[in-house]
Amino acid sequence: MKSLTFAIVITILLTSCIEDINVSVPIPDFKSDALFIETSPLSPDSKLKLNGIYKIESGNEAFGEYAVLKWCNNKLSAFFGKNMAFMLLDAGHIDSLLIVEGIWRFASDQSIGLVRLIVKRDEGGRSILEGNTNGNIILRGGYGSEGSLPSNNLVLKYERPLKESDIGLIVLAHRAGGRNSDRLPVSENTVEMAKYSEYLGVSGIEIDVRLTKDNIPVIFHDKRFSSRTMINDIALGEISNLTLKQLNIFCELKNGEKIPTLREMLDTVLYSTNHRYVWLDLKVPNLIEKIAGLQQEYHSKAKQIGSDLTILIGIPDDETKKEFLSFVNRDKLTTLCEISSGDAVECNSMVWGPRWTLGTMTESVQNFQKQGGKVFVWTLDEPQYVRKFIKEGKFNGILTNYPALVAFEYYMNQH
Amino acid sequence: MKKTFKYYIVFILFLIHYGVYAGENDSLYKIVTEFGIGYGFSTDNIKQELDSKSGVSWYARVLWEPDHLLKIGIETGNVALSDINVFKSYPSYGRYLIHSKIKAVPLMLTFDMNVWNASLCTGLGAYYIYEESVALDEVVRTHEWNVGFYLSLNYKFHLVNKLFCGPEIKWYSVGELGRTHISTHLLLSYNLFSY
Repeated sequence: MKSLTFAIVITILLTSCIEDINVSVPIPDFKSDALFIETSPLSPDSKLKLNGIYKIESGNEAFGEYAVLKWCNNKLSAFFGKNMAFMLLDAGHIDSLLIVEGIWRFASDQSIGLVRLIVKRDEGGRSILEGNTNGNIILRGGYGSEGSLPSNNLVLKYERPLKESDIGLIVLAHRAGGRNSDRLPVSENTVEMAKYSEYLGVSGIEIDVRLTKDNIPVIFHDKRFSSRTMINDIALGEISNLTLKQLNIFCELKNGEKIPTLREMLDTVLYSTNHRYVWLDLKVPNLIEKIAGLQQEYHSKAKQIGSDLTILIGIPDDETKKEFLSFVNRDKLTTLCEISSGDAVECNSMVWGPRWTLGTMTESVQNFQKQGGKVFVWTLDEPQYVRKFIKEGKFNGILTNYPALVAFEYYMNQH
Repeated sequence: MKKTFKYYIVFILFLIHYGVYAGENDSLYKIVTEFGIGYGFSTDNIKQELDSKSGVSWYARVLWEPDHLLKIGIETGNVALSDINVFKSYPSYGRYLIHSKIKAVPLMLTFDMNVWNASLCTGLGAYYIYEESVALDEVVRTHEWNVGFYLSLNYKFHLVNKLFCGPEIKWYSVGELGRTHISTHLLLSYNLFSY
């Protein structure tokens, strides 16, 4: 009996081994089979005609009942209610035929594959190009697994336009777009991720700020280097032991990127994305004084180019609150307080950021909003709670690792 | 849970399983010292290395051998995890060469079990890892502690008096660093005293 138990334990242990969860999922492409490269670009008006909520007529087993299609920067993104799926698509036309190609991805289990959809001339192709659709758009095509060409049917039929709620909803992406364990093609907390997250329906990002040995604010989550974040281990120990120059020379992030400085990140967000919010999560004490100037500088630069970008300095705990309240020029700073709504009021924070596990807290949220503040809840990843918080909550923003899911639930909930 | 750690748990269960059914040893209580030196190679996640990651490792351990087949002791030593050259590039510096050396000092609680005339040995504890990397005009010396373990298999021949020797194959696993090092050693074992 003991030997049998021993054998069972060994079998369970050996079969439960997992691979490195921090390595990106390889991105497939059509290579020489791509049709998109043969197409002409769509006009901005034609692009907007594709935005909307679509009923999935075929392909429900993978993607559910509905799809939300929305142009996010230069990609046509599609968000789904099943498997936390999303698609990143390119679209163009050949005469009156619209070609839509790209990749689909399940955030739930990290499956990936190719997708190709076509809008025929009499199923919306011509009217989209002429800018006079009457809601008659059908995208027909298929999807395939990994690198194989699309062979499973997928049909999307336009149902209604996208609507924004009265107060809108800011979808904020955790660590600039997602964690390394989400296996996106770029690393967490990088300028590349800040750009990529736009395709996921994001209009704000949360990033983690630390200091180098020479007191330069950089974007990095962990206190120490590890195989979770780094592609190699040429440097060990704590990030605060290295100067910025040493970081640049020796350190390489999981997908080959460099650790960005806060300045580089703000520069990218302001000049290369349409993000409206940057939430700075301060990971070490005594940072406020060092980043206050940068916040004001980039708010001023944003005004100059007509951007409404808001940089929020996070106040995650009592220690940071104390540091903030003792800062002489605190009235000039825009902050997000994660403690209680009372603390947020005391700090005169623009945003209160309660943890999602506290519930929807409708009364407290509305009270804070009546005083002119906004409320961003964090970090909401569970589909059933995303649905619940969007339906029942009154939040201005949701911070998540799965922005595509939040974007889907938000637009589906607007009638 | 890391894959290597699960293999380690399996190994521990294996030792316990055999330990439970082990017969008694007729000898007295002993204190045994063992020393090994050898050569091995490491696996890691650096993809662009130019040189091999092989190097010399050595260890010393002291074991208490009761009237049982399972010995318990402590071990330390030095393991050359890597000595590599890697090319990198950065816009401000262009293409440049990094020379990096990583070594680990294990501090392990060791269990040694006689099985089939050989010894299965395992250690569980921590590695003190230290590193020196040089590139351009910058030198970085960093260090950290990692939990880890090792497994080994050795076979000892009687040389003279209380001295034994034999070959040993040893597999080091350095936890968070995600490195493993496999080496072959020449092992010397000396029965320090009995009581």
